[in-house]
Amino acid sequence: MYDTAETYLKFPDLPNALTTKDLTVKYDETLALQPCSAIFPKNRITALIGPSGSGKSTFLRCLNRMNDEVAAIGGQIMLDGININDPKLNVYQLRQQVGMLFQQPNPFARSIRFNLSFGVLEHQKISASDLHQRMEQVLSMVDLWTELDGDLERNALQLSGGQQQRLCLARTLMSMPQVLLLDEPASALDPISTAKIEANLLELKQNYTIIIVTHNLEQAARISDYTAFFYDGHLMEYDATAQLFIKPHLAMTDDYLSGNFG
Amino acid sequence: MNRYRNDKFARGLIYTIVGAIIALIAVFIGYLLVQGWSTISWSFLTTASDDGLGIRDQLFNSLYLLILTLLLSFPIALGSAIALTIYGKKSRFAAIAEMAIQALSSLPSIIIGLFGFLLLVLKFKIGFSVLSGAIALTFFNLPILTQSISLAIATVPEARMTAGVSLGVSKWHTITKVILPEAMPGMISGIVLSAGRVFGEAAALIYTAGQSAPKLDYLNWNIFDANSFLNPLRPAETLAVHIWKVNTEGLGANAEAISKGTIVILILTILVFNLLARQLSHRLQRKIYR
Ligand SMILES: Nc1ncnc2c1ncn2[C@@H]1O[C@H](COP(=O)(O)OP(=O)(O)OP(=O)(O)O)[C@@H](O)[C@H]1O
Ligand SMILES: [Mg+2]
Repeated sequence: MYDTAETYLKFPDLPNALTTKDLTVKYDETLALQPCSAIFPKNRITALIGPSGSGKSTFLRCLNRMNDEVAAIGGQIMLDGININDPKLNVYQLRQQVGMLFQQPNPFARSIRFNLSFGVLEHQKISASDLHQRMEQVLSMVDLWTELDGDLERNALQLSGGQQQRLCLARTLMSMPQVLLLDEPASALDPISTAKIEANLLELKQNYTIIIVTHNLEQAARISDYTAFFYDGHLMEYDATAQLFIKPHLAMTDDYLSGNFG
Repeated sequence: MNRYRNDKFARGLIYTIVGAIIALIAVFIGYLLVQGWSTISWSFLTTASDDGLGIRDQLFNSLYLLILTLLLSFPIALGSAIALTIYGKKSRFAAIAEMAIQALSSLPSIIIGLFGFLLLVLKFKIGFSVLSGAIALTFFNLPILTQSISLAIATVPEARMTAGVSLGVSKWHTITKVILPEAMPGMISGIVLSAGRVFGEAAALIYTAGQSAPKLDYLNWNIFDANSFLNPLRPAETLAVHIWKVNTEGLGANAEAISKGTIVILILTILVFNLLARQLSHRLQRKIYR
């Protein structure tokens, strides 16, 4: 067991896209996330790392209110000066602003066109030509447009796992969100598909703020600008990735990074 | 290797058993068809039983009751299935409801018939009628229909719901626009299987829809007229009840021929249902999974 009393949180002095203040999550009686205050700088990739069960997914899922039904969530999450943890907030609109990608690709068993247009058409009146243009745009961003020869009628389940995951990424981009939440998005993919997703994310970071949970430390080192280390429901260390991976401040982070954890 | 021999043997055994069952069913149905075939004629299908052999009105009554029953039971079953499999998943209420549905599905249909008789025919004074019959059949049909629709919905991966919700779509719209369309082929199979059961049901109807088939006028669209084919408050003997009645009362020299002919029509109609449903379900599947 490690001591969780001492934390080291060094947030950058940059414009931020999203901040949390004393965010807590309670499943039934257990507090799965201790009061957590963090800052996510705009147009940067922040990686969330930490041992299994440390609360990374729990934290991430709060950021677009996907935990609402299973947990009691306290504290504040600020996006654009608005507390999005407000029970009165329209969560449907929020989720168009804060997109999410999961571990397993989860396309609908329908055409690529349906996959891309379904969420957007729920929220926006958009002309057929604009819609088509946007579909081409997001598919290009994930390098699928040429791979698919622009064929939008193919069933999404016919794509390979890696292509499905990139389609799902494109799907979240359709509503032009500000923030992307990714929960181990490449852990079910082969190395080549993983590399493609990583390349897409580095490209996307110019316009989006990305928060990614990963167990792949090399991946975190490769693509993230900042890294947050979670342990047992606590946010223990937060620093620039280059700094944290070379010279972590806490012994427990050091142990985790060097594989001597436990 | 021994293992391969065992596998071959087991497979052979299974094929033999399946073959035997299919042969048995074929012989059984074939026998009924051959027996009743000579009775079947155009006039058998198009005349009323008051005028002789015909089963025109019974055939219509069976179809009419089936349609009404499905109209009543499908929305309720669909609603319950959605409530149980999606909204109430793992809740105490759902567990209790599931137990109740299972109990109801194993209730003998004659009990449902007598319950319908006491409640609908006597207490609510609806009388022996299409309506009483349809309500009794709805009780008969609901458990199985709910179970099969629940099953069809449960085969749709949960990831679809997560995907829909994470895109900012409400649960309800994800259900109606993603989950139900994907469950549709399975639901249709379930509806048709239950339709076959409803179509062949006699015990639940004997004391609810009644055992008489007044001669119907198919040109009378006024549902309040006693002889209108659409009147829901007239008694309505169905094919299955007709078979039962003809056999128990054994009226006239033609009783046996009528009963055998009716059996043929009953079986053929159910076969046609199944084929149609298969077609429809395949076509839908292809459309969705194109
Ligand atoms: N729906 C839930 N109900 C109850 N407890 C939960 C639920 N989801 C997660 N937990 C608990 O909360 C804690 C944190 O889980 P979480 O899934 O956030 O960990 P994680 O860091 O994402 O782990 P992993 O790396 O394995 O994905 C764990 O102890 C877990 O058992
Ligand atoms: Mg997780």
